[in-house]
Amino acid sequence: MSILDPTADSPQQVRQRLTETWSDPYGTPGFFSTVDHKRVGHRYLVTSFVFFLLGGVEALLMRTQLATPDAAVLNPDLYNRMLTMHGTTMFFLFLGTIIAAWGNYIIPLAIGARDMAYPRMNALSYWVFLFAGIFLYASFFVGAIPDGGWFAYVPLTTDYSAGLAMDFWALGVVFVGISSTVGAINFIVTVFKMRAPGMTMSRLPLVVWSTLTTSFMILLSFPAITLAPLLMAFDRIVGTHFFDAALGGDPLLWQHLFWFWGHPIVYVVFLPPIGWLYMIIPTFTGRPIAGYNWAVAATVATGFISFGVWVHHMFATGLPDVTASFFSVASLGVSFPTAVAFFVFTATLWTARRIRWTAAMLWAVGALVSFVIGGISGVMVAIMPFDWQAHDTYFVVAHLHYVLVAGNVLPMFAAFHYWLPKVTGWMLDERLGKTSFWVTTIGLHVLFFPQHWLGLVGMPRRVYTYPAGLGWDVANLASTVGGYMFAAGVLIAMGNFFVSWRRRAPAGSNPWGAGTLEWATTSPVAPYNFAQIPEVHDRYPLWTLDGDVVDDPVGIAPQPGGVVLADEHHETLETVGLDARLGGVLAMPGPSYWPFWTAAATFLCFFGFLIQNPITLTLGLVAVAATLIGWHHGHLTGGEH
Amino acid sequence: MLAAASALGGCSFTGTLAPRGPDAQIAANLWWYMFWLGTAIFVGWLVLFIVAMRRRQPADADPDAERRLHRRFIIGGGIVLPCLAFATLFALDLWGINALPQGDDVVVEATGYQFWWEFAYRDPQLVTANELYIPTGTDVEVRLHTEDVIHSFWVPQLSGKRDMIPGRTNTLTLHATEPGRYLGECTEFCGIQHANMRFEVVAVPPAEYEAWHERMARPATEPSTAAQQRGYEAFMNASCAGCHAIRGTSADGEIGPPLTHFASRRWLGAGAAPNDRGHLAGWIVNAQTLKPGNAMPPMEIDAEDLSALLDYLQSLE
Repeated sequence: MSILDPTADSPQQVRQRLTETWSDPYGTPGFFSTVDHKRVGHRYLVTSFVFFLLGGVEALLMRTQLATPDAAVLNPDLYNRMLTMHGTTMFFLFLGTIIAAWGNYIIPLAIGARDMAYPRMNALSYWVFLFAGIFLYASFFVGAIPDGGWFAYVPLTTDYSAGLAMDFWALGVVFVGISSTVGAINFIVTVFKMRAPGMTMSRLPLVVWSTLTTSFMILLSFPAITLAPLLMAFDRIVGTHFFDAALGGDPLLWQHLFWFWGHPIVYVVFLPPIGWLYMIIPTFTGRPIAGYNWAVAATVATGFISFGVWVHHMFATGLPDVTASFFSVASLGVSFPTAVAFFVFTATLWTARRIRWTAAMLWAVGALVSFVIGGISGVMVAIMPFDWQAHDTYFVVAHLHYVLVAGNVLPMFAAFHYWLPKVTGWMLDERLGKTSFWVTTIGLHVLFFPQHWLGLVGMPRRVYTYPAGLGWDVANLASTVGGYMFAAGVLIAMGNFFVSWRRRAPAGSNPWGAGTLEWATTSPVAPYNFAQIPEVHDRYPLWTLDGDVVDDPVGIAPQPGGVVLADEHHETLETVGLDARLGGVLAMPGPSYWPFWTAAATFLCFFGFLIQNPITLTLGLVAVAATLIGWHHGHLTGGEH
Repeated sequence: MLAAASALGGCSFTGTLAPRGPDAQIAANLWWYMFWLGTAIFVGWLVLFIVAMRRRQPADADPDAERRLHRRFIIGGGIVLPCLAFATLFALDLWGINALPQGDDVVVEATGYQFWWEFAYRDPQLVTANELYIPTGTDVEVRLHTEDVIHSFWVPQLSGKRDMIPGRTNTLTLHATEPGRYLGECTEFCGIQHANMRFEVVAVPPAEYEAWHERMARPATEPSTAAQQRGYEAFMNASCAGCHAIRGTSADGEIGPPLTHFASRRWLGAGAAPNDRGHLAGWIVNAQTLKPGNAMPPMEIDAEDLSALLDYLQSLE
């Protein structure tokens, strides 16, 4: 460790040395060996968005088929495969990973850290995600696209599904789960150990609280979605009978395991986006969030309650009414923290001096208003006698898409408009941003609102067609038109990205006049994040007590007498305790190829299992062990332990 | 393909919003209570939210007063409001569950197959398919089984749905207050033809139901013309009898729907097409055209045999 003294070295010299220390090797070696949380974040953003587009194309194909009764755009087999891959892609490869994308990029910056706690594990979680996505989509190239539904209910997916299709699904889901679990561990340790000195838990930005909560939820819920598809793969490939009722297994075991993951994951995918809104709305109202403690309590409470509601997906399975009633009550209970969150936002806006209607703010407010509709229909389906009617109809399709699209996709666009200047160093076009907002949001409502009605008048979900004369034609056509409108809005947003990229209007370090630490460094962010790790004294370190914005934050210009860490190693500060006292200096691992190779070796394992080839599987396991040994070795020489 | 199926369930079909039984009526009432409650909450919050966005807080507002206001907002909207809504909804929930019909004056065993329904009655015993006759004004207990994957049994106008799960027997009480034909659907994704797995509940007055039950329990009509006799032989000699049962003959297959009183049914292939001569001919020659992925293979049959087979099947009233 060496400490540079800014009084002896000029800020330029300090930044020069930091850049040399923290930069990745140039070109291809750097591409495969980087552990920089920002580059990992970029990749997560791009990859997740690509999967969002793929899932969207699958959805549009389905909506086109359903635009008119008895249509023949997709045959029933292909429709069911699109249905399965739409749900699987959106849940496993987009909704769950876009939060990791912004989490990776923003969390270390928002807490004033130079990297995640385990940079190489961070790289690993991305490579595993990428390989798992490739694994799932490889099914398209061998003509074995999964067809058993994204919820994969047994025994349809075990005894009644031939070929490799559901093997791809089961193994792919386990594979991608590794990425989520590794990422969750990393976020938890990062938040507990890497906060800037003085950033107590009660000064933690709310997006960090929501990411911390969801990381615990991922750790507790993903074992279920790892275990269940593994049991399924064993039933399918090895010939066990975990889910086979004829031989003492139980098909309901699958549903319990699946929803024990499946319901918490819904909160996992919307809590971080609510966290993004907790960041965006105070910035554009120029005021701290109202009721910070309430917002934290609501976030954590949602996490707890989310584990007591999974049976509301199973009200029609014939469980005893008393058992089911418990889950009905718990599901109603989620309305408390959600209502608290919404009134936190309402109160914040109520006492705003001035609201700046930027594109990011529009997307954020649009998300809130749209989300309420999904929240209200969610409370309705918690009432069992109504749920027995609404369950597995388009009412539920409408409900879940309101929750997920308004709770994740719209906030994602808000986050794009808000944080992209930090990522790229240039501003997005405001006018195009607002246009894309209106087109997408109106499209969203035209797409999903009529589906409530379709469900009430008896249209079941997951049907590839429907006969004319049941009164479903007009609403279906409207829904499809809304789908294309939504897609047009997304295309405008993408067009905005490319137009703005060409224009490159410089962003500066803090274009929105925000108050949190990610804006205390240059845009785009230097490889070392902060030249001098800032010391935190309140929740909005960049806002003065009078509500003004600090011009030259300490993270950009090292102050005389401040501690700047720099060496030939990656070094950062470790803080301890809930009050983030200075604990010491951590030597962080630098770039490494091992995460990539570990992920590739894991791919080999899953591939061997898929093709039922023991030699490939064994080779894969040996390769994983070998890469982990290599990884360990590299870590010992890279850092100073 | 299914244009002719348009009458399925009747043109006035509006699902759960047109209840014809106490169970569906309770659910529909619950829906309307919750719709108005939900609308009131949404509109109320939206108005508050819009006011919040449009008003300007004076720059010299007292910070302590602001904090008190925030607390009032959050406790009022986040605690008090959900408490009231919660209590109302939970009361509705319990009321709804307890008000559901529970009787078993008539018992039917319903079994789901990929992709059709079998209905078995007792006293006297009989097995039929895809049409569920019930007496009006009576609690009918439907016991739900499955022969293969999970299906879900749903008659939107009569009652909520229940799953058919391997290794379990769920029960559901159907009660129709007025005669009519009610659309039934499978609501659990069960494979390639999940979309075309429908049935009809035919509710008739009790006396008519008794007569139907007695008539259906009889063996199938004997062939009475030469053509019907030839069709009968074609049925027995082709592979038909291996999959389908006709009571009173040697045909006892259990893979496809029983055909004992086939001509009395309105639909082919669990709602895939109307049961008329043209569609039936198409179905026999290649059922994969009308309902791709169903279990019935295409049949090699010459024109005369086909015509005779149609005569025979259409005689099975």
